[in-house]
Amino acid sequence: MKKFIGAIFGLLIIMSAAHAKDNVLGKHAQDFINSLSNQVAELNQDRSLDNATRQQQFMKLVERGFDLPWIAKFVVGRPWKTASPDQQKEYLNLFKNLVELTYSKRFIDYSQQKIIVSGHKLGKRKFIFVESQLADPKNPKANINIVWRLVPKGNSFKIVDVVIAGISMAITQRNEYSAVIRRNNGSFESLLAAMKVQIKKLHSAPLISN
Amino acid sequence: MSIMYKKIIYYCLLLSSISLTSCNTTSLEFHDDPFELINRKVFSANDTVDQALLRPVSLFYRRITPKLLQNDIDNFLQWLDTPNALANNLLQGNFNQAEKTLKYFALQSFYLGHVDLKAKYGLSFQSEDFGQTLGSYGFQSGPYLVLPLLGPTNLRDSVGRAVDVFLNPLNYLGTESSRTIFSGTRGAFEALTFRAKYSKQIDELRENSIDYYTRVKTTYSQRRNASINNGMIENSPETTETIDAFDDQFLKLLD
Repeated sequence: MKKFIGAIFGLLIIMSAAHAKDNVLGKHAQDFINSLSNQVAELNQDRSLDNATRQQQFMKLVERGFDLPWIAKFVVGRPWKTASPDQQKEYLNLFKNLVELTYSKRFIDYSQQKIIVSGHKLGKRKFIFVESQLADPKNPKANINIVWRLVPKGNSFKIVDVVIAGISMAITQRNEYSAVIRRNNGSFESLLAAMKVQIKKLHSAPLISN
Repeated sequence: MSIMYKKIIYYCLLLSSISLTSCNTTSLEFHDDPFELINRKVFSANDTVDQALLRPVSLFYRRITPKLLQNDIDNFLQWLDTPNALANNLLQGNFNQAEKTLKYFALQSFYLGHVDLKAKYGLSFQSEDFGQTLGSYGFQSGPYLVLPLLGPTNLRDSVGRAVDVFLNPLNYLGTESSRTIFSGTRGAFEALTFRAKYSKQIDELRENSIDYYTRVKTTYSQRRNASINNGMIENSPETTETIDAFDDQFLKLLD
């Protein structure tokens, strides 16, 4: 009987220790998102930088905070495995280029908005979710829920997906890339061509400001 | 009940029964698009109308219409939608939200919706439709559809849209011709105000897509799933439950 109680007690200690560890991990993940969003805000407020330099610095933050190679492979899905090493290398470069062009322009557009971290949840496998809201000081009623999917990496974290108002950026892009490959008889090369066309289009497009 | 209404109800029930057994597009990987060929054609036509007409008119509307008047129109359109939201709150068994919707409707009705009392009385409004109600009962979304001018939907939500017309008592006021004119005008204003309000986001979506059709399809479908679960949308308390569902589906794609 004593052994049984001792075993139960030991189990409870292990469980609460694991729970405490998970809580600490979750809190660190929240701090990571807080820190990243503060760095972005500081960059936006630094009036000494021109737009080009600001965008470059922003991209450095993106590369530090996001696991772009992981996201790139997730987004292309199974065709990654059948692509040649040269195609894979070209794809990763094009993906990074697209992310840079797409998000660095919008970064300036959304500079007035602020990320408010509200909590975390541990997902299955190694994923951690950080819950937050994108707050617009001009329109507080229109706050948008954003959930960040992170993985621990070394002493820090990397973001692998962002879910904005129920829309996963990674899933959305994955469906898009799958459709391009599927409609071109499974050709990985067609995806690379489409990405190059998109990059060219973005280079020549003005900043969207309605 | 007229023969026309009976026919509409019959076709709604027929489509619902198909929807129960048809393809499941609630998963995150949206390959189920059996009408893709025709959907893409209709989508392309809609996009042409959007770029040529709706977008410039909505930008013009936003530029010349005073902000107060724009808010007034938004509030009025939202108020017109409230009986639908209330009916669907009740059908979904969401009595908490139904109470909030009823309070909102009752107070706003003094001004026919023209004054926004949400902030003053701490009211909230959450749009609900019969498509979401069917989704909450477990009805699958069915095949993805793109309707001329009306845009993206699916089989379940198309049925829901038809039922919503009957659910709203405001749609029974006046004569048949006045109802038709009012309904048409309301639809036009809803399209205009929506396009004006989300102009930047829609333009960005278009600009940043490699396959705009698929981008819109997947965005629409995810957004509908989220609204059915009332999770991961503006100020929703159910985010945590939705995260679990999202996590499961995301992990399937990793394997």
